[in-house]
Amino acid sequence: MGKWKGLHKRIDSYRVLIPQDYKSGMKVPGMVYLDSDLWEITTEEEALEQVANVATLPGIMKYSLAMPDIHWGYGFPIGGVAAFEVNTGVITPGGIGYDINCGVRLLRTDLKKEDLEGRVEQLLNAIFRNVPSGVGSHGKVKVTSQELDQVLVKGARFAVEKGFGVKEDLLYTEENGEMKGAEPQAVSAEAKKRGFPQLGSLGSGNHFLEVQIVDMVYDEETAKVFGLFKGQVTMLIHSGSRGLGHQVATDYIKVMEKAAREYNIKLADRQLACSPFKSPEGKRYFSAMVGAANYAWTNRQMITHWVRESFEEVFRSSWENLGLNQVYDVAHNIAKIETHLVDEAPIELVVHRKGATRAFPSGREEIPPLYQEVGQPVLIPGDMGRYSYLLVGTQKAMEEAWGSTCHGAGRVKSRTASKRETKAIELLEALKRKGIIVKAESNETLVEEAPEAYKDVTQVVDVVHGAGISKKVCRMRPVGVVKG
Amino acid sequence: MPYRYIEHTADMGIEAWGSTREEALKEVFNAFTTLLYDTEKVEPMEEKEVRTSSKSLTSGVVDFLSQVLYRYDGEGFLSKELIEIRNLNPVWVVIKGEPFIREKHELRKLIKAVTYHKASFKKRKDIYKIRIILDV
Repeated sequence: MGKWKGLHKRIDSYRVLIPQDYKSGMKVPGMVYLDSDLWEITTEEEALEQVANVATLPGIMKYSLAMPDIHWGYGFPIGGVAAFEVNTGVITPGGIGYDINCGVRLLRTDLKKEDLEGRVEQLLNAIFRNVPSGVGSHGKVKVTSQELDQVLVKGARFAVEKGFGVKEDLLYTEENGEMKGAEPQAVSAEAKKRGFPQLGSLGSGNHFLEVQIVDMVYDEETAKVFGLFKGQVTMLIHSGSRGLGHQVATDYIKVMEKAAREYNIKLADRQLACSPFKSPEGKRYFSAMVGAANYAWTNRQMITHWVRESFEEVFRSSWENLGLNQVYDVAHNIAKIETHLVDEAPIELVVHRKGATRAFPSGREEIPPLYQEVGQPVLIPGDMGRYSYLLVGTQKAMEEAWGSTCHGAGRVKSRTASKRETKAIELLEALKRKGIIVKAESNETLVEEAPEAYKDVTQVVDVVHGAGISKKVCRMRPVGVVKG
Repeated sequence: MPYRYIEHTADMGIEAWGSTREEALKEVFNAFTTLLYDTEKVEPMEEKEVRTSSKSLTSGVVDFLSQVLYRYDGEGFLSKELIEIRNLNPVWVVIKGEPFIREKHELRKLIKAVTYHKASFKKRKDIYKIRIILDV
């Protein structure tokens, strides 16, 4: 596979346009947020072709977009964002991904860097013990089938009602951790069976729990509103809907293949199988996806509880005393019905974000009251050797990207390639020298997730900041990581 | 070499060969289960039937492996051997394996899904070749 050499035009330092006449069937142009460095890396694979493919889908509005962490994915590229008019547009599982509502949650503490001294290892051990992780990890919560249906409908509220966390956590979660429109019957028996044992587990792959220090504050005022300050200890949770979400995606890609034929939708790629949003198939998939998204929020809520217990064990104080409160929780693989302005008129759209994060500015009613003045926090996890960022949504994101921004670093290397080049022990040593202790369930996963396998998250964040579709608030440096 | 693992951007895939379609299907099954867990430690204690309703041979392979994945991730059943192929299109087979026991078995890789992306089942000269890409 050579370099991608498709027709394109650089708009400015941060934006590249793929014109509508690049490929037959494109209904809108493509627009990708990339600087010249990241452009070079991105053209190594077919991800930009996928941006053009997405532009061929019925009902797509304005642009087929991609964020700077763009890399190849099934159907949509990872980092892809596209909005479809609700009455004429489609919904596609390929625009959401197999890990429905993979997302990130940030907790803050009243602890400072000094308080962690000599305790990181102990804390990681406690977290490792309390939060089930790794391949085949099973949660320690047993739910009945009626309860699982409640998980799909109530989401994180189910967990809070069971004693995992408090009501305030819900307030600081996208959709309050309880997205409306779930239909438990739309989720197959197979998906539920994969979901039962895995509820309340981290999983494997790129999922992790990270103890961090806020090491840079770019916007003091906004950081203050989010309760963040330099030298503070924070905790990042990255997980998704586990086997339940993967099975929902698998089930509905099959349904959508058939539907696409029936509705005469010409597909540029089989993994873009879709159906009209308002069709029975479209509605059913959406209600199953919402169920899987709620499962993921329940999962992160339970993990939050065990993380708090771990801090309590190590610091011998209640989590309330330690100030272990939630800053925010975002989904980065999801479709939402949102109202956006198109030619100055409000219009309902199905916004697909696959490896992209909602980044709403101040004034949107979806944001918690306390954050109304500044905008929505956006959480960007990096790889384990570098940084994570907290950004805030902007009006610019609303105007040109359906209120969206990037979601992470974005892979540049295949898992096998990264494995060939990295040895687990050397990697652990190198990270330790940088002041990062890592506990991993499996060495194999560890080396696959080596920092070199990713784009530099700082470069990615600089592009969205420069383009103005979100603004940097602070940077967090990892000191301890638990990998699944 | 009856099968090999291939790189595919962030993910990976399987290429499997056979002198008959059935042999290729068995090889792709072996490659897939070997990726999920150490099949040497799995004993062929129980029989399970797996049936798909796929429209093509290629979709049949994807749907078949998706079901093997579901048996593992949803039912905790580790498939070891494909002992009988009753029908090829759509796939209808009998597999043998046993329920997962934490102390006995060794799990390897988490596979999210088997995808249709660039999936193929082709004959070249006298060799049948299957290619499958997995979301890991």
